[in-house]
Amino acid sequence: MKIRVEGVRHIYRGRGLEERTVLDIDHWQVLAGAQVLLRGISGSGKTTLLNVLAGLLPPTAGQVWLGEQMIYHLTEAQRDRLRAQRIGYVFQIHLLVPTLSALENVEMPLVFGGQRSAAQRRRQALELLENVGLAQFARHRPVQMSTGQRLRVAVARALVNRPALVLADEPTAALDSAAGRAVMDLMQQICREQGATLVVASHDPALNARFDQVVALQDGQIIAESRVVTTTAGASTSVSEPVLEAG
Amino acid sequence: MFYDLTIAWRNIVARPVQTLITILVVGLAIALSVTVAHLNDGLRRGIIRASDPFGVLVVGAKGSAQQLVLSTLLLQGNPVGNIPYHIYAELAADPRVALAVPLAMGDNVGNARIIGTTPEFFTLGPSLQEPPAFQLAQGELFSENFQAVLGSKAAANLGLMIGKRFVPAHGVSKGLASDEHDLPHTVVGILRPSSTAFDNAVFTTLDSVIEIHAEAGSTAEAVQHSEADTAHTADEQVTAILVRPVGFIEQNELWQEFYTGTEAQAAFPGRELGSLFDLLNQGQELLRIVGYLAAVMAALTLFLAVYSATSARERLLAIMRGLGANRNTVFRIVLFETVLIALLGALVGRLAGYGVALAIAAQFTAQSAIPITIRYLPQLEGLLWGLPLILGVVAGLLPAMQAYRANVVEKLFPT
Repeated sequence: MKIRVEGVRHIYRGRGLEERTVLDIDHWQVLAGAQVLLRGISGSGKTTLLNVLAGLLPPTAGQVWLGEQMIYHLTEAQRDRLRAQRIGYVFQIHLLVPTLSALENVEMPLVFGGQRSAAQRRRQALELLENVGLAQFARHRPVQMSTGQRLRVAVARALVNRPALVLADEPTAALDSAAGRAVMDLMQQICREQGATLVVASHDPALNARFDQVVALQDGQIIAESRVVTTTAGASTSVSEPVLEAG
Repeated sequence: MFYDLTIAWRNIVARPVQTLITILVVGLAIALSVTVAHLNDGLRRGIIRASDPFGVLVVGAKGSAQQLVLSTLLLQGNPVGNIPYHIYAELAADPRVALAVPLAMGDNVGNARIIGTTPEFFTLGPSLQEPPAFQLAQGELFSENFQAVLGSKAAANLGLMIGKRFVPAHGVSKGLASDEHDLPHTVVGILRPSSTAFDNAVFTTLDSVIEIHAEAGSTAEAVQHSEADTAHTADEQVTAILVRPVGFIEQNELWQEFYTGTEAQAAFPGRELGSLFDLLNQGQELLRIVGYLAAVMAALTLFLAVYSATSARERLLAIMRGLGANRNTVFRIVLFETVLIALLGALVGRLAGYGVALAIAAQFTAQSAIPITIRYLPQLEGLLWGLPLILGVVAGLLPAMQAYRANVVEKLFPT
């Protein structure tokens, strides 16, 4: 799924009514099937951008296209449906529902996406759990699983509806480097297989080399962007693009 | 919808103690209403059934008509007093009267009242078309003085069988051993259960009671008799007379005569029991208010239980919204939580209320001999499911609205 962001600005109003611009992007684009890393320190606007892309946070101004659809021209219920059917989201700290089993957690987007057959839902969810190596933990509750296992369940949940866009917020933050690598391998591989666009937010510089497109954010603005260009001979080169000024 | 219910169920079982306490509070409120409704129904039917066989007029001493009916038909409390025997004799000879049955009370055996009467008592029934209410299970009716026929419960309680003898004691309920008379009675018959208070009574001839009290020298509250003389004298007394007039006009004439007379009164059991039911209704109204207060308390407990789980639930619901659940879904989930708890409370309350009503009815029946049976009350269905449903919806509305309005991003990524 192709992403296009035009003139998006989001202003956060605090309780004291003070205003703070947390996202300010004039123009940004991601090609369908690309794998993008959003980099930046905490508070740089990575999560805000992911939430805007997920249709969860209507920006104060601007427009976002997912494919050909201007998502903030849709009603909230339509965006909810779009999120359930076309977008997978791995939340920061994974956020599984504690009262449900791993299998039931993975099933959820299918329920909200309108998949009526419970048997079909179970089959799809179990297949994804198998893909992330957790079929034997299907009946386990999140509290009975390790951090790494919970993350893999969250990844399975994000991918179960075969989304066109996968968003992941600091997916490896709570893992050691080996476990983090394994999860990233898994996520990137499944996205490639499914042709899904992947946008990952992380402040881990070790992840840069894994992505087609790396976007650096600071104070809500894109301050640098590099793309890997594949030459006709098959070699890859990193190309830095000019910094886009805010406003 | 089913999925929403499943999620709501998982949420409430995830906090078992809180959920259980809330269910119990709701259950108590419902149990109170269920118990009151069942007992009220059982008591009404018990009283109606217990008074059913006894004709349309009760004649007795002047005083409280309600006490006359209760003490005569339901054997509750002391008799109002006695009336001259000649009233019975006149009624028995009156062409306007189809049946007149005298009752003489004043003695007991082991808490069972001894009732002096005539064999006509055993022909009494709800109507002429129906079989008599009092029928022999064993033995025969009394034919001589100091023979006794036992009600079914009295026979069981006293452990007496045909041919056994007992000594009556003075008073309508059990007293001191020194109150015992010297004239033993012999059991000649035992009745089938009649579902009346008379199941716990002992019947003998009118003359037996008269003779006992002549022996004892009692003058005030019992029947007096000139010994060895079957002709009744002017100062002899009976406690009450059950009268079945031949028709409606005659019934009103008789009532009017007693109303204007000075020796006795005639009371309509239906009218007096109606006033008793009015009293019961007032009591029930009071208990209904208590029930409503309990329901309000239950709603508050329910609200608190759901409200106190708000922060944990907000996160969970925000995750769902993040995965594509819409606002209506999370609204329904919260509402289902309170409705599920309320309905479970209703179920517990119904079972508990029914059980308590059964226990109280059994105890009351044993003590009063008025048979109270608890039956299924279909008219309660609407209230017993509707009220908890409303409680659940009312208590869940605010938390559900909060969940509906919640800012998903703030809840998912708290700063």
